[in-house]
Amino acid sequence: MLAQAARRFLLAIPTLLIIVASVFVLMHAAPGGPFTKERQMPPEIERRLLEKYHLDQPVGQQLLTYIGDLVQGDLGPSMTYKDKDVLDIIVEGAPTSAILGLSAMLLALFIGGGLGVMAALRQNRAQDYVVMALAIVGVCLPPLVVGPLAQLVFGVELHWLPTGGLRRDEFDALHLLLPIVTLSLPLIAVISRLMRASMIETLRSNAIRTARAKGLPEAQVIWRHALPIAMLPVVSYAGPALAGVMAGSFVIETVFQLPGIGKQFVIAATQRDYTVVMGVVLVYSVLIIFFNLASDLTYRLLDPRTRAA
Amino acid sequence: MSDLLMEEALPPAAARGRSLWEDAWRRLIRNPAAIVSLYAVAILTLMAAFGPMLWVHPYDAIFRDKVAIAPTLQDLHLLGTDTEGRDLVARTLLGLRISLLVGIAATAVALTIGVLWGAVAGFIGGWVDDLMMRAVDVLYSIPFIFFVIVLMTVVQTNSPIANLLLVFMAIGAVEWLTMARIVRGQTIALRQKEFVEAARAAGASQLQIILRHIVPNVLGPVVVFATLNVPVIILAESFLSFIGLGVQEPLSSLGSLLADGTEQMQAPWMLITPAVMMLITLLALNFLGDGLRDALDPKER
Repeated sequence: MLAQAARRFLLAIPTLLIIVASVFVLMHAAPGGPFTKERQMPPEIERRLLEKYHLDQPVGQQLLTYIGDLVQGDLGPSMTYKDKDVLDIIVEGAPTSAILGLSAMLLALFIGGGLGVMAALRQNRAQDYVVMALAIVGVCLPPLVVGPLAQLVFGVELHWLPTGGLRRDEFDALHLLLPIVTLSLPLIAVISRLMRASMIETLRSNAIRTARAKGLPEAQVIWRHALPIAMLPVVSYAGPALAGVMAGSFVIETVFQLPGIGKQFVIAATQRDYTVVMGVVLVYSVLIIFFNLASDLTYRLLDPRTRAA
Repeated sequence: MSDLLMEEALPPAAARGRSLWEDAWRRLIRNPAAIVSLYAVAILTLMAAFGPMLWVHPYDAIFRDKVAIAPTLQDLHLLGTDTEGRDLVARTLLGLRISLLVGIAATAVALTIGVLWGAVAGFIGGWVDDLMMRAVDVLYSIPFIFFVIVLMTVVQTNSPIANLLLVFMAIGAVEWLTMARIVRGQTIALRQKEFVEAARAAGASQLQIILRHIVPNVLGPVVVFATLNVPVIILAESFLSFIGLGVQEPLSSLGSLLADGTEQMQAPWMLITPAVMMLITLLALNFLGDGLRDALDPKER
C-alpha cells in the first residue's frame, strides 16, 4: 500500500508540471498584461516594471524562472498588490475557503449519511420515498441559483440573516450559515442516495446475516457491522467531491462576497495578475490530487478485501 | 450474407425483433417523471427557439421611461423590466435560448472528442491506450473551471457572438474526459464480441470498425451522459456569465440574468424569474437523464 501511495505521489509531480506549464503559457500567450491599463504609463516606468517581473523575457524563459522559484517554495510577488506576495494572499484567503468547504462536507456527511441510512432501513416505505424524492430535487439545486435566492428570502425579505460579506479572520457563524447550507445541499442529496443504495446492499450480505444469526442487537448490527461496509462508496465519493466542494466554494465565495481564495482568483484572473492566478491554480491542483489519494487510501483501510493485499 | 449469418446465430427469444431502442422507449414512457420532464424539455426548447421571435418586445429594446418596473399588464411587461428598461420576458426567452444553445453545443463538442478518444484508446489498446488514458488522468486533476476562466480572460473579443462561440468551445474542450472513460470501458467490453470479429474477418479497416460497429453500440451510455451533461454545462456557462466573463450585453443568458438579479435585490422579480427558469431547466434535464438511464440500462435500477 505504501508503494501504491508512493507511485501516485510520484505521478503527481509531472501532473503538476503540466498544469503549471499549460496555465502559464496560456496566460502569457495573449496580448496585454497586468500593466496594460487605460491610462498610458511613461515608457521608461513600464519598461522597468516589465523588467522587475521578468515580463520582458521570452515566455519559455519566464516559465523556467517560475518553476525554479517554485521548487524553492517561492510563489513570487503579486503583480497588482504592490506590497504582497502570492503566498500572503493565499494564506489570507485559505481559512475562509477551508472552513466553508469542510463544514459543508461535514454537514453533508452527517445529514446525507443519516438520511440515507434511515431510507435504507425503511426501504419502500413513506420515509424512503420522501428522502429519495428530496434527494433527486436536491441534486439540481446548484449554489449559483440557490445562493442568490436564499439571500433574497432570508436576507432581504425576512432580515433573518446577513446576505454575505465577511471581515477577514472574523468567522461569524451567522454570516457563514447561508453559504455553508447552500453549498451542502447538492452534496447531501448525492450522499444520501449513495448511502441508501449501499446500505440496502450491505444489509442483504452474508456478513450481516451472520451478525444477526449470532443474536446481536439490531442497533449493533447496523452501526458496528453494516455501517463501516456501507460507508465505502461514500468515502470514495467524498474525496474527489471535497475537491469539488472547493471549486464549489468558489461559486459561493463569489455569490456571497466572501474573502476566500476563490474570490481572489476571480479578481486576479480579470486583472491578469499572473502570479496570483498560478498560485491559486497550484493550491487547488495539489488539493485535488491530495484528496483523491487520501480517499483511495482510506478506502483501502476500510475495505477488508483490499486491506490484506 | 452477413445478415443471414447473424440471424442464424441469434437465439430464438431475440428473434421477436424488438431493438434496444424500442425496448428503452417502452420503459421510458412507463416512467411518469421522465415523461413529464420530456414534455418540459420540449416546451423549453420551443420557447427558446421561437420565443424571442414571437414576443412583442425585442430583447434589446430600451424603454427609458420604464426602468426596473415590477411585473405589470401595462404594455405587456409581464415580468417587469430591468435596470436598463428592457423587457424581462424577452430577455429571459433569449437567455433560455443562449443557455440551452451553449449546453447543447458544448456537449456536442465534448461528445465528439470524448467518444473518438475513448473508442480509439479502447479499441487499439496496448501502449496507445495507456498513453491516452494517462493523459486523461492528468487532465482530470486540473481544476477546469480555472482553466476556462483563464481562457476567457486572455482571449478577449469585442463581438458578442465570437465570445459566445468561445464560451462553448472552452467548456466543451474540457468536459470530454468522463465521456472518454465511459466509452473506453464499453469499447473494451465490445472488442471481444463476435460481431467485431466478424467485421474484421470480412476485411473491415480499424477505422471502419470503430465508426460503424463500436460507436453505434456505445450510444446508449453516451446519450445518458449527454443529457446529464447539458445541465452541468449550462451551470458552468452561468457561472462564467455571473462573474462577467460569459455572454456580453446586449445578449443575455440565464446566468447573466441571475447576476443582474443578484445585484438588484430591491427588484426581486429580476432574480426570481431567471432562477426559477434555471431550476425548471435543470430539474427537467436531470429527470430526463435519470429516466433514460433507467430505460437504457435496467440493471442499474
